[in-house]
Amino acid sequence: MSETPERVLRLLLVEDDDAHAQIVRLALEGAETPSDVMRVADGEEAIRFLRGEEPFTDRRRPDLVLLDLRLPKIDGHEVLRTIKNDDGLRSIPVVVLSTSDADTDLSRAYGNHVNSYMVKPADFIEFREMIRDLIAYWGRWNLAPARNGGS
Amino acid sequence: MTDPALSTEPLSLRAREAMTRGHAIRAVVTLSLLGALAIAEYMIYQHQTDVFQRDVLLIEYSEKQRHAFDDIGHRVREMSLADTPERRRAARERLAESVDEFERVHNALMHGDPGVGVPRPVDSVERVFEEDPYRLCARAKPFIASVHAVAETPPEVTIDLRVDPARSVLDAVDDSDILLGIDAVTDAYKGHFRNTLATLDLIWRSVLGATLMSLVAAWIVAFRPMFQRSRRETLRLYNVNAELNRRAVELEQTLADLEASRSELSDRSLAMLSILEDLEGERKKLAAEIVERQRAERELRASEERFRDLAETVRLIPWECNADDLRFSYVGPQAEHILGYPVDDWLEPGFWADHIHADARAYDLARLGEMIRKHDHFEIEMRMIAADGRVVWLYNVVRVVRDGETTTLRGVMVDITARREAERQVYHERERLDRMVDTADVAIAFRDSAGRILRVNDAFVALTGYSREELCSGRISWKDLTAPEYRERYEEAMERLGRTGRFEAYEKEYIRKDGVRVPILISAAKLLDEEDEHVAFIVDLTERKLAEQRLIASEERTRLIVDTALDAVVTMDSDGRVTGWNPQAEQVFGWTREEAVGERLASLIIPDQYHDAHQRGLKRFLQDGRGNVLNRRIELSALRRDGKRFPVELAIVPIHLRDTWEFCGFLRDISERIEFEQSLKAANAELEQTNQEMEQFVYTASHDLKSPIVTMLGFLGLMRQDIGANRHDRMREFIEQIERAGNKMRRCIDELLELSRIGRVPNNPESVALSELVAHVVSGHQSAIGQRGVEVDVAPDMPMIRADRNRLTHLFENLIVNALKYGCDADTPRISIGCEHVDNEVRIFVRDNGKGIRAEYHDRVFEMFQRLDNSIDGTGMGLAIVRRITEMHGGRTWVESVERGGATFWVGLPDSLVVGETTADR
Repeated sequence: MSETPERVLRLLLVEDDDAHAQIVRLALEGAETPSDVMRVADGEEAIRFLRGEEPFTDRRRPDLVLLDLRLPKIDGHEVLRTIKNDDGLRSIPVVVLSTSDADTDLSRAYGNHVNSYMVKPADFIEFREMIRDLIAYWGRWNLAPARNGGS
Repeated sequence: MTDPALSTEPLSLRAREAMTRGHAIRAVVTLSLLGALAIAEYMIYQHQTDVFQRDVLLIEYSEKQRHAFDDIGHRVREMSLADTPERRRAARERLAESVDEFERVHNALMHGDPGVGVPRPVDSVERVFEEDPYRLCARAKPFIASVHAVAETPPEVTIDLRVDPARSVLDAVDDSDILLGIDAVTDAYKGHFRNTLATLDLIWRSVLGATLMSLVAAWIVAFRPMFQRSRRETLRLYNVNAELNRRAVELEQTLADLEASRSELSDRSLAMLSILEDLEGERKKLAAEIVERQRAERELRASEERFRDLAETVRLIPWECNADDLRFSYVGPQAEHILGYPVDDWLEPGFWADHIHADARAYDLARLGEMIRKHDHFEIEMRMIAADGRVVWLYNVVRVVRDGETTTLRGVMVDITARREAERQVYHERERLDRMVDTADVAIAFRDSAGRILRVNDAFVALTGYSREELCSGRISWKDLTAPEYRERYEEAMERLGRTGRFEAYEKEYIRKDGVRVPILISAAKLLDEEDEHVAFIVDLTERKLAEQRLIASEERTRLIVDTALDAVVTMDSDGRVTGWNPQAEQVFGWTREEAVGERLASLIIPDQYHDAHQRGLKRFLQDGRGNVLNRRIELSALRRDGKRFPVELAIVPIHLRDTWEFCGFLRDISERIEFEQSLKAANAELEQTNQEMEQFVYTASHDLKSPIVTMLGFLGLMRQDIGANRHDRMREFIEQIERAGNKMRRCIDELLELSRIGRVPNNPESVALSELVAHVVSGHQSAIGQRGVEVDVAPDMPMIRADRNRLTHLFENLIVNALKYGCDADTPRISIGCEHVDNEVRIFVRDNGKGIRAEYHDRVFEMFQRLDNSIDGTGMGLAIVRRITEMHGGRTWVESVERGGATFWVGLPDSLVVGETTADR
């Protein structure tokens, strides 16, 4: 491919549904942009992971968070709010990936400074296209500030 | 009736003889004196007449001389102008005659001429000539000579006036000296004549004076006794007049008195007439005597005038007239003052008839004529017209004197205008009263004490329906008119009327002619004390009674409306006291009408906290008519008799009653409405909550139903991709994923259906023994329990409650499954189920000894689709269903737990559901 050194997008998938998580992984198979998917199953774990708390002390800071809204324990909106209110985490782009296209969810997410909001398409082809475009955009075109921690 | 003082005293015979003798002596003396005087006068007169005649003669001669002198001048001129000798001769002859005449007269004047009676000049005449400034004597002779000279001129000679002697004649003629001399002499004679005349006049006057004086003396001497007699007579007349006057004054008083009867006046007038007639007889007798004694007449007339003066002060005026033509032959002098016409006018023919008031003239004259024919004495009143147009009423007392052919009326008239005016006013007053009575709307009747009706007005006729004739005929008595039940009252009223002269108005009923009863108001009063006549005033009350009935009906209607109103109707006066209180108010507030009326409204139904506002509001409204609570519906709380407050809806309307205000309040107990409103509000809130839950439910359900679809479609897409790539290694895994998602979806839909079926109220509630039910549920899960080695303990003493058995089974199913799923990770898992009775709540618990739930998730566990542990398969709806079923039974759910200390799920139900304690054995 290109001569530029391989840049791998570290992706944190916050998804309680195993099947959905597997669909995301499978959609990323064969994608042009290399990515490293980490997954947590509920909101509480997501925040612990981002903050590097137990049991994620050795984790690497993700470049992008893919966030489902309906989560056990702490729901996606609360996770988003926590990230965007945290000076250390605020710069991490968060993309909501949800089955809900309800206005309340949209306005609430944007009210919490979500970077992007996507509705899971039912059709797998579309799903794969969307995930790949998403990775391409955030992994290839989007420039993130210099990483300042966690490596 | 004749007064002796008024009768005349006849002269005695002796006195007459004495008087005649005295008269004779006095007459002789007087006549001789007059004779002597006449002789003396004659002699003086004779002398003076001679002087007078001589003077006249002298003046005549003087005049002749002057005439002749003038003639001479003319003749001389004539001669000179004569153109023929004949004419000249004739002129000369005439001149000769003139000069002769002149000379003869002159001589006669100078020397006297006994032939013609011219005397020898007396001294005074000679002095006339001597004193003549023109020396006529000296000039006359040459003049006569010169004229002679002219006259002797022969006829052939033409007289030349420029030569002598004609010239000197003419000069003399032209020269006025001679003429002036003649005139002077004539004047002198005339002066003398005047003196003589004056002397004669003087003598004449003195003779006349003397004669008169002697006549006077003769009067005094000869007629003194007659004079004295006349004076006595006059005095007696005066007395008679005085008496007459006194009587006239009396009569006048009588006349002035309106109550005096006419007959009395008539009697007195007749008396006066006879007196006057006597007087008149006396007067006439006296007049006859005076006629006999002509010389005393003037004195008598004088005395009569005095009598008339006196008589003028009497207002009775005697008169006499001819009955046929009504011409006055005599009227008293004061008649002049009555009508303003002089007495002479009265005596004109037709005066009487002409001055009767035109309106009544024909009638009055006819009446008078009839009176004259039928009566010897009569009285008549007539309206006369005065000179100034006034109407004057004259009252005449007339005596008819029939004397053969002629009939004479003698009468006295009196001006009774004032009396007639008074009478007229009385008449008018009566007329007005009559009109008033006749036209009054009020029925008026006059009656006597026996109830006989004397007179009624139209209104009375209309009121009773009887005709006036029927009423006044005596057939209908007052008693007949009165309705029987009022007769007693009528007697009472009549008794009072008899006693006090009147009775106050009272109401009763009349029976009309047609039998209809008429309500009336009657009052009556006696008219005059001495007369048995009453006047009664009757007012027809039919209209008023009808109006009263209508009013009563209207009030009744209003009262019925108020009394049957569904609202409490309370009225209050401006003092704040209750004036009206309808049955509804009695019911609402608990006070009866008798208790409430007159009390202060504030003390009855207004709670203490509103008292001030009530007083202020009332005061302000009475001051400026403003009111916050008036004329609109407001909601307040009111006080019941038992002290309970309750909400009312109230409308207060101010009502202006005459000069004060009343307030009408319509009140309605709205407790029920308020309750209803509150329940409505609650229901509404509940509905809103339900709605919100439903939205949440739909939202969540759609999300959770979408999720497996995404999974299924995703793996199907992968399968299609793998099949296209002819890759089969992952197919089984993908199919399992799809199956899982499908199953999850089915469960999810089942539970949603279950949840939606729960509803909001228990279906078919029945008595449920809790312990038995729980044991039954637990037995359904025996395999899972045994598999995991869970120790399950169910309390056997749980109560029996009234509930929906199926729902309650479902509730415990979910709780036990939940406990088995999430709470059995301990080494020796244990689930205990039991209940506590705290306060009014039966609290059922399902306790496990699992890992527990962190406090922050205690509320969320009961929400739909909420799961705390992803690792265990579940729809997240179990606890939501538990909560819904509990709430449906009026209870609540909560969880108590500490992390790693197990969890206790509580279901609190109201103990009102408990129907009995169970002590069932297991």
